[in-house]
Amino acid sequence: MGRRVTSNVEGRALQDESASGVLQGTLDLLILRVLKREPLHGWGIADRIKQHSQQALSIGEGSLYPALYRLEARGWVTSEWGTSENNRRAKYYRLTAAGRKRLEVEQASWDRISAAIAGVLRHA
Amino acid sequence: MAEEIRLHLEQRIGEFIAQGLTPEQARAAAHRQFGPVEPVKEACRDVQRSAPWLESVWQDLRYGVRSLARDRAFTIAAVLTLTLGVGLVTTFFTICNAILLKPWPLPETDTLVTASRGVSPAAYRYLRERATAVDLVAIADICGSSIDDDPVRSSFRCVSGNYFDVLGVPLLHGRGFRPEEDILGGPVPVAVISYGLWRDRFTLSPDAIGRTITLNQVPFQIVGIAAPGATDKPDKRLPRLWVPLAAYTLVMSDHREFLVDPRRCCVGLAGRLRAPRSQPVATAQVTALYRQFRGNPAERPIAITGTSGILQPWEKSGVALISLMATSLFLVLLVACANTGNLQLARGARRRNEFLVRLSLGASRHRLVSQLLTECLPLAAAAAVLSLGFATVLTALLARWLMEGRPDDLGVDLSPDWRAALFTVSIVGVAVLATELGPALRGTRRLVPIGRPNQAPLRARSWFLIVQVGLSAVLIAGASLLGRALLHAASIDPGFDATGVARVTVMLPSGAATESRLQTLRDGLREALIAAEPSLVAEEGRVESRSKVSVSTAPATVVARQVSPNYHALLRVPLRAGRLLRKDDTASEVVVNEAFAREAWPGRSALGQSFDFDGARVVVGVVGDMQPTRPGARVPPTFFERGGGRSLFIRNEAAVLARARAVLATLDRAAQVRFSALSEDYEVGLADRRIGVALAWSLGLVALAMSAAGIFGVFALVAEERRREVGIRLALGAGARAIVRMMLSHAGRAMGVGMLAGFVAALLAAPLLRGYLVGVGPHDPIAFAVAALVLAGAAAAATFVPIRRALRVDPAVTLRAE
Repeated sequence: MGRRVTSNVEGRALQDESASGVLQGTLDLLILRVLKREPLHGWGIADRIKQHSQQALSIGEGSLYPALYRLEARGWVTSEWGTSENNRRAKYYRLTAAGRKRLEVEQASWDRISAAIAGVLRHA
Repeated sequence: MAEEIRLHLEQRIGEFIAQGLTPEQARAAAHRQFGPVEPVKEACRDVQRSAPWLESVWQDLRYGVRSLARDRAFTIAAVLTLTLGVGLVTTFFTICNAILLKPWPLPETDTLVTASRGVSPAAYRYLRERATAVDLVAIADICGSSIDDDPVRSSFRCVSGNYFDVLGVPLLHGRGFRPEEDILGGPVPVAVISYGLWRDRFTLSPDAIGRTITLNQVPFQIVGIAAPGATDKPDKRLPRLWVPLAAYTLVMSDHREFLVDPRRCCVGLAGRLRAPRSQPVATAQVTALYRQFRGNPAERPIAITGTSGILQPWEKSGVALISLMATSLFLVLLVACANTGNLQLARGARRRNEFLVRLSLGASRHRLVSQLLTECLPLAAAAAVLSLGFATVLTALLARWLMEGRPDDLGVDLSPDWRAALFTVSIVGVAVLATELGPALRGTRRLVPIGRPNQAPLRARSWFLIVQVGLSAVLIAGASLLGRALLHAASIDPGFDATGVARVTVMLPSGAATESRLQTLRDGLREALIAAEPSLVAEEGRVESRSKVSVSTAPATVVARQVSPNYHALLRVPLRAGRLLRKDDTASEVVVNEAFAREAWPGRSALGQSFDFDGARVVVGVVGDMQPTRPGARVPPTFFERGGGRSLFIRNEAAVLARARAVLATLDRAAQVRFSALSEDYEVGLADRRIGVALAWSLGLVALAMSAAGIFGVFALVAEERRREVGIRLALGAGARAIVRMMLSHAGRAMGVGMLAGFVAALLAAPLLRGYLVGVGPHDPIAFAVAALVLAGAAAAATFVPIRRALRVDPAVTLRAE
């Protein structure tokens, strides 16, 4: 029993990262950024990320959902059922005000880090 | 969520089919792109199940319950120990709560007030008529009256006419008093009876209203029946009967001046504020009015306060006792905590390997500590519930015992309320946290590698042991001292021989009872008895206590007793010097007791000495000290002068008793006579102290039993841990003595230190008990020796089994087992 507790708590983060192929924080950032333009359903988010990264970031689509639920639990996105463009039922995710703020923070820190890394790569 | 994922997959399959794949290929591709479905669902559920910490708390709780159920011995021991410790403290709190904290059991307690002191009935009427901030009621308990022909004397409550209306004392049937039934000089004989009296006397029959009940032979008409438990202020007993204050003169015809004389004391004051929270206004107004009434602007103020959290006058004397009790109970609780702490340590040591494995697998220490603490919640919950139950049962038993089997008549509400529940929960919480946090932090330290014996818990264990043994030593030493004082009190000579001496009380039906008529009867009885049996009758008159007597080296306070000449002979008080009083002695010739002689004329003969007490007195004799009522208490300096007329004492012989009855019958048909053994007074004095000593010993023994269990646990653990070492030593030829020494070297030292520290603390604290130790010094060597013996005996008993188990270790078996 003791071991199960351990694997649940310490193992969860590992699982998320290995399955998605992107760093966990980064996936959150990408989702938030995609949702900034318009509310979207799960596969739409996956398509958008793939499309905008010129297929370079191919995420395991499944790992999207735990991330979405997590963002929702933190109040950064909300969700509601609606009808998709091809007339199917779909759950749409929408950025909240808190999510918008979070996105700014995350984006700023990402910019800083990537600029720093780029600087190192270019000049070192 | 499953729906959402299914829709996602269907969408993808549709896309792939549109790209020209077969349905099977499309399904496979969609799943490949999505990844494994079930873990995703699981991960989503984890997030969804609300906040992760709540999830882990829930998990820990379930885990805690399971592991406690598995560790049954530990669980039972810990819960019982905590229940005992906390339950005792909660019982005490419940009683204090009922007496001190709960507001009076009346409606609308926010306007209910009481006054800091009582006033004379005359002053009460003055205040009631003039006070505008508060409606005042008067309450006076009058003792020693007989209801109907009940031989047991009970008290009744005289209350002002507005009492029931203003306070709202709940009634079951009928009505309360009307203001016009309480008019000075126009007493109306009406009464409200208590539920208890209704039950006992009228078997709950509803036609009791309108019937009469007699109070000291005076008939009163019953107008109301109070609800069960109805009273105003909490008191030991519920009131049995209420009558209007003005009716006091009907019952106590001797004391008519009580209602009118402004110097008479007292009726208690209570009341209701006309505006909420206006206590300061009411205090100022009532004080001003009272000063006006007394014509003294410096008169002490009368504080008008709420009824919660105040000390009743009858509780003030108990404050020292209450704090002593609280301290002892707190010590018992500490012992219980130390015991639980030790149990937790032992359990932690057993689970050490589990934690080390988890730590090395990457569990955070924070996570483990919070898990351990959460695991204790079920333990704490069980202990809290049981403690409350234990305290409820114990208070009920106490009430039954205190009320001699009639707990319904108890005047305080001992039922547990939210205060008691809050108290219990916080005490249990603090106790569990205090005892578990240390072992939890210790048990989850990363530094100690697996397999190496962990020294730290041993040291902590020793500390817990020292605390336990030390506190038990304090409690046992205190109990031992009190026991010694009781034995001393019971064994000392009271200075007289009370066996066979009875106090004679002459009674009259109270309507007819006037002091002069009683005096006539007493005089007649005495004359007749003295004429018949002069040597068997003695009497006592006025007893007066006064300070400042003009003797060269004056005792601080002297007591003057008027006695008949054969008083000392009858009570067999020994004559030390000179002679006893004679019939023809005048007021100037007195006999003093030894205490008087010793204090006034130390080292000299008292005979022939003189002093001034309402005139010059000459000492003609010295008698031994006698202590008639308070066993073991100091005998005050006393002198005896000729007199009598109040109490009559006789040798309790059948012939004398019969003659007394016969004489009285010829004097007055209505008169009754009662004989009460003089030794009863003395026995009552001893009984109260026996209860105190029994209580002290029970607390001490409870603590000792817990400590013994703790010692046993520690030694058993040491024996278990060192089984292998013992085996090797035995195999190498060590004798039993060496093994015992090895076992004792650890916990034995802690035990010794604990005992020593406990006795030092007890020696330092013993002077606090001085008020209860008569005839025994606070550092009485015998008392301490007894305590040491008891402790050593308990320690020996607790260590015997584990040590024997260690000695029985078979080296061959033990060594092969590894």
